[in-house]
Amino acid sequence: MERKTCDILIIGGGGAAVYAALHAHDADPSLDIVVASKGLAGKSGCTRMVQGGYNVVLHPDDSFDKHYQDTLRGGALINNQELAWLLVTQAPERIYELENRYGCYFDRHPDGSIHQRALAGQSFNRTVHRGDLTGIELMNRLLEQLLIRKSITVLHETRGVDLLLDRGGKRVCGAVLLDYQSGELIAVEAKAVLLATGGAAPLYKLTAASLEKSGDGLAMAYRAGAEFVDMEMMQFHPTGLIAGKSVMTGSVLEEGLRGAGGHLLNAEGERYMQRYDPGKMERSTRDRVSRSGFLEIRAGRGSELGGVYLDVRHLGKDFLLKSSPGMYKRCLSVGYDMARDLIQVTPTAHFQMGGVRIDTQCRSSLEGLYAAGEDAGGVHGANRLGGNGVAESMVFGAIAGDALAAYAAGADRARYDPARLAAIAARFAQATSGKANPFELRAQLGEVAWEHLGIIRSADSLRTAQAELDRIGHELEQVPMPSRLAGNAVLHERMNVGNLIDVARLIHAAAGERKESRGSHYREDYPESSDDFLVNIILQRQADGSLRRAVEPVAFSRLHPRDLQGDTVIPREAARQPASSSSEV
Amino acid sequence: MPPTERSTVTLVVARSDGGASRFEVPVPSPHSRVLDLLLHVQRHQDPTLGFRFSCRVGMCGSCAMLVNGREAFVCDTSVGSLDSGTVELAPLRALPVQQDLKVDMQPFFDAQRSARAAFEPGEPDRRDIRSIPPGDQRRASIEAQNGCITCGSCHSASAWTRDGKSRAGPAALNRIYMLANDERDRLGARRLAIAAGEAGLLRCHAEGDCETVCPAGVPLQAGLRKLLDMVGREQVLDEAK
Repeated sequence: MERKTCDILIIGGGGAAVYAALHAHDADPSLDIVVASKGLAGKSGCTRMVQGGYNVVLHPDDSFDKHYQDTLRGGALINNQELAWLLVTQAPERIYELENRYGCYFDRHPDGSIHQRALAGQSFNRTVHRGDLTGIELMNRLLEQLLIRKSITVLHETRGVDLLLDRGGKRVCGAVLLDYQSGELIAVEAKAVLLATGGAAPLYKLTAASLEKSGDGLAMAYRAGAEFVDMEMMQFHPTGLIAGKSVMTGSVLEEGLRGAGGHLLNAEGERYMQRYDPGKMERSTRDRVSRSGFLEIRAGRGSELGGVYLDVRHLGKDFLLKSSPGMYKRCLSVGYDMARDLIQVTPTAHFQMGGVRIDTQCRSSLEGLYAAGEDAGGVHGANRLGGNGVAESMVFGAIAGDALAAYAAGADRARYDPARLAAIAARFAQATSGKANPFELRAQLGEVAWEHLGIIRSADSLRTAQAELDRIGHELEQVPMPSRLAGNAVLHERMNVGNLIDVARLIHAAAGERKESRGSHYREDYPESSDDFLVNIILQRQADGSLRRAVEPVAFSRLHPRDLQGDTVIPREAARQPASSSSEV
Repeated sequence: MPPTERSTVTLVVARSDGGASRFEVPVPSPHSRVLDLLLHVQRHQDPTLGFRFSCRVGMCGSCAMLVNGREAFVCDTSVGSLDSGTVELAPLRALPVQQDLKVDMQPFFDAQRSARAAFEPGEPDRRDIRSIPPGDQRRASIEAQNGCITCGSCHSASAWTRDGKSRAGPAALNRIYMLANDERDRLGARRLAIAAGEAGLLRCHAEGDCETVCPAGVPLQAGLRKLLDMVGREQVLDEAK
């Protein structure tokens, strides 16, 4: 086993991870920083896949209060109010930085000012973007900055396996990594570790997320005993593309298409949203539109390929090409001409709101362990607004980077418990035999999660899920541990399934505690929201392997729910202003 | 031409041991991606097959390789569009092969770095967003060349770089052109000296393969011509001084 020592270990390769690395480095260039990314750093993860853009208050007629209230309203009032406030108030600092320090190219209005459009649930046009493929722009520029900071060690295709703790089990002092290509385990001793690996949306058979993600950071934090918050909250996007049995299936068609006036139809040609939300129709919130589509499909009114139909034909080819060129191309490549064809779409697992419980410095409940991006919970409450996700990655990536640098400057190096390292290494040391196929188990897990832990839940579905998770977990032990670890996809899928089961158990436990419906969590047996559940569900694995469950009232530290009423919708297209831009990509 | 319906295709995959493997793979739909076929092989036929992907929607560039001899993203290449019963897959040229279809991207990233193909802020701490008036020529020049996702395809295809001797290559020079036009960049026109000097712009063969294969559709050859123009203009101006 290889051994390394550094000041800061960052596990992840997307927006939050790279941003944290840049900030930590620039705060103190003498720090020894290691970035370990499951894929190619700056290329894996979901930030790159962002279409909509970045929410930020820049216009004089907009305000922090408006953005903040939109965020809490979108989050159905259970957001961590301090974290949400940081998101809103730090977002402008990061956009200035992206523009002036990292060199991003954002679209402009015809008058020369930065273009901001509106996404769902916003009271003001505040989404900065570059065409409809904003994530590529952000990650290209951030990767460029990462590469020129030569003192940062970047380990491509090196995943986190488990965290290293001191003998007391309360202080994180490094992690074990696995280099995909060499198959070597690497024990990294660090003063502090940041988890920024992304969420576990790929737990579900249909997902919009980058497919290499498997909730690794969440699973590592769970096994190390960190506290989690609101793990029941998983967002489903209503319009995932259906492209048959293809990896393209589940990828998102941006909601601007509904905002612009797109219709959703069932197999009978009915605009079914009139039965679920006649006021807002297709422009209703993501959770409601997803649920409605799911119910239509379940009732047998689904499309030929098991989805519903998105109809944007009436918007006209010119408009579609201009407003959604990336989506137009994506649809065309799987056989739909948006201007002429009905597009089959399905709800798709999109974003994990729940995660490791953090404070305003991105610190977890374990000393030395930090989390940012999807690995962290609380910022978005029960539902995330479009455009707040990438803002979160940048804002909290920066906070984490600064906090890590400050911590590393002062903290002593703790020694990890050699017994824990030995136990982790032992899992890989002994080749085992067995007949189970991890790819097959992954498919089964995706199906179970979709049916029983997904868009609609109930006591019954949770019971079934429990039994199935136990069964798949048991069968996973029958997947052989290979003798050759180098470049071995079976080994990695085995680890992926193990991590996804850990995260699924957290989702399961939290969904059982929340006996109401709120935001993206819907219980068929408790279909209404209840003020009794203005709470956060806290979970924490105990040393004996049991799960501590706690229900804590939301701290209304800045705004009480009585001061915040109203619902959220996607703004009408008329509210959009034209972009002078790169849209003709 | 409508894509041809086929129920199976034969994948011929270059392996790191120097040989090739053949796999018969089902094709559920003409829109199935070449990546779907590779995943099918990995899950059902040969789990040792090495390839790389992440986003699977053409946004990350991790899965660039040679498809029937030409650089492409396998996530973005439908089987039907190839109109061929045999699909030959090989790793990118110019970069060291790690495992079958996977190459080590580090030399490519190093080439970007040594050509300084990265933004160097003139005013890093500025706290506003510059207004860019409509019809701003410099921004228009940049926008015309933006969209590279550093997948390495041009590096593999270009007659200049494909022999694997590390040179800056089309992606780095395209970025240098953008930066030379970027008023925010600290180096500004000094980028041109780098392009002509250590980045080796004048050694570009100008055959245009980089642009032909670019999966992101960046007009690389056009950009290199414009960069050459700028370098030439600067030299003329220098000599006039």
